[in-house]
Amino acid sequence: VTTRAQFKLPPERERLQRRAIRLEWITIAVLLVVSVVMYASMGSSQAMKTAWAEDLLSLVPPIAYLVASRVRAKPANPRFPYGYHRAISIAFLCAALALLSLGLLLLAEAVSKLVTREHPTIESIELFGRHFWQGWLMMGVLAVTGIAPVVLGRLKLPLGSELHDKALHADADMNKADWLTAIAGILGLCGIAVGWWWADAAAAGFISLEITRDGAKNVSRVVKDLMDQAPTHVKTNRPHELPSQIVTALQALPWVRRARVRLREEGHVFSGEAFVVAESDHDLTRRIAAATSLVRSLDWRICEVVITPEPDANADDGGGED
Amino acid sequence: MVGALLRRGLLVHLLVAVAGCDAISRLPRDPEGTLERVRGGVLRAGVSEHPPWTERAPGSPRGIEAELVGAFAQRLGARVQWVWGSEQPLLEALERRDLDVVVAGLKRDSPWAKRVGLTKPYVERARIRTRDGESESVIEEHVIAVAPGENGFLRELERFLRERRPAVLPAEESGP
Repeated sequence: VTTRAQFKLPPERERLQRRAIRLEWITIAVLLVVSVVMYASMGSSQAMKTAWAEDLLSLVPPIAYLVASRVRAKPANPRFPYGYHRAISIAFLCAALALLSLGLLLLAEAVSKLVTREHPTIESIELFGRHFWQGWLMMGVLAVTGIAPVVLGRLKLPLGSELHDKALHADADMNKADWLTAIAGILGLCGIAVGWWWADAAAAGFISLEITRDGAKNVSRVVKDLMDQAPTHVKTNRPHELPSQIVTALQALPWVRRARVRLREEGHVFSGEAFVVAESDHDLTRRIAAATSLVRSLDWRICEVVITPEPDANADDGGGED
Repeated sequence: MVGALLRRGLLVHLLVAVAGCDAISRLPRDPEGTLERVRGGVLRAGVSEHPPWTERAPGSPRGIEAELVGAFAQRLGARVQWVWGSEQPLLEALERRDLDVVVAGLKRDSPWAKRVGLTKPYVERARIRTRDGESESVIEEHVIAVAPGENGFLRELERFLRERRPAVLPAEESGP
């Protein structure tokens, strides 16, 4: 039984990853504070309750990331010979499913409030010796609490690309979109203030649609990764050019007549197989070993590419298809 | 980034503008216009007997809450149309907005809180409750019910109650 060699991030990416982990801890702390403050001032606004649920839910991806970043660092062993790289995808699948189902639940709640024409009642409160409508306070809380996640999201977003970490990227994307939630919630409350009872539930519906959309998008992305999709760019989701780069590099070797390659993503790393047709069998073992380290040096994300020599199909049938 | 900052700036302006409106105009407004209708008109008040909060009397009802409602109507220049009944049908009528307020010695933890609007507690009463031979002191927070979602009317009533806030009532012995 053999196991994979352990994957090590290059030192500068290692630093980035430590930064990402620190940012995720900060995100958790900030979101906890935000959720508590929002819960305390929530009142009976459905939009604010939905925004609160979203903030509470945004805790799941950072936690998943932190847990998975521990698990995936574990070296491969006879029981898990390919290592633990997929931990992050599995953690993210759970987070995305939670997002999707809660989004649908909140959407149903908002629609039912619209259908039953429920008029939200928001009372007044006394603060610092002044008597005012609680709706104003709720708007203030939404505006203030909406800012911190946006800043954190913007800090995390470039790290997601540089570490080729789709989980981190999606998490940052969600934080970044938090201002939408805050504005929707505030507009809902403004609506109540001018006497539109439906504005609050409508805003809640909009926010829950956003949550649902986020969930669906992430489920689809992470399921494709788990289906061994060919590598894609984190930011654009376009196919990565690395497989063709590997083919070019291999075919540039004088002893290689033809090469083909297939790659997949395992969390934040790539692995796969390359098949080469050699000009001759001379010194083949040594040449393949050298080619293997050449391929690994092409990109830091390559964890393992197994190179296999194959017979020349064209030579057998006298030059047919490739 | 600039776009986001601009939007955030806009948001702050919006908040300031809306908060400014609060001082000048009368936000929040009622979706069904209760406050405007009652002012100088008729206040439809449900009352359920619950001394000392509400008591039957010749003419208009007596009791702490009944008198508060009377004074509130006076301030709005409104005449009170009293509707006697038991708590449940009155609160159901309130939920349908067939009434504007209900006084029945209601407390903050009322199960009706989800279906009608309740004021913030306007008075607390310490009571000694005797249960299983043991006495315990409980704080009861009393509220008045209003039609759901009529936030302007609710705020006006709460403002009134705050000015009129009766002193904390003395502790009183009661059965289990």
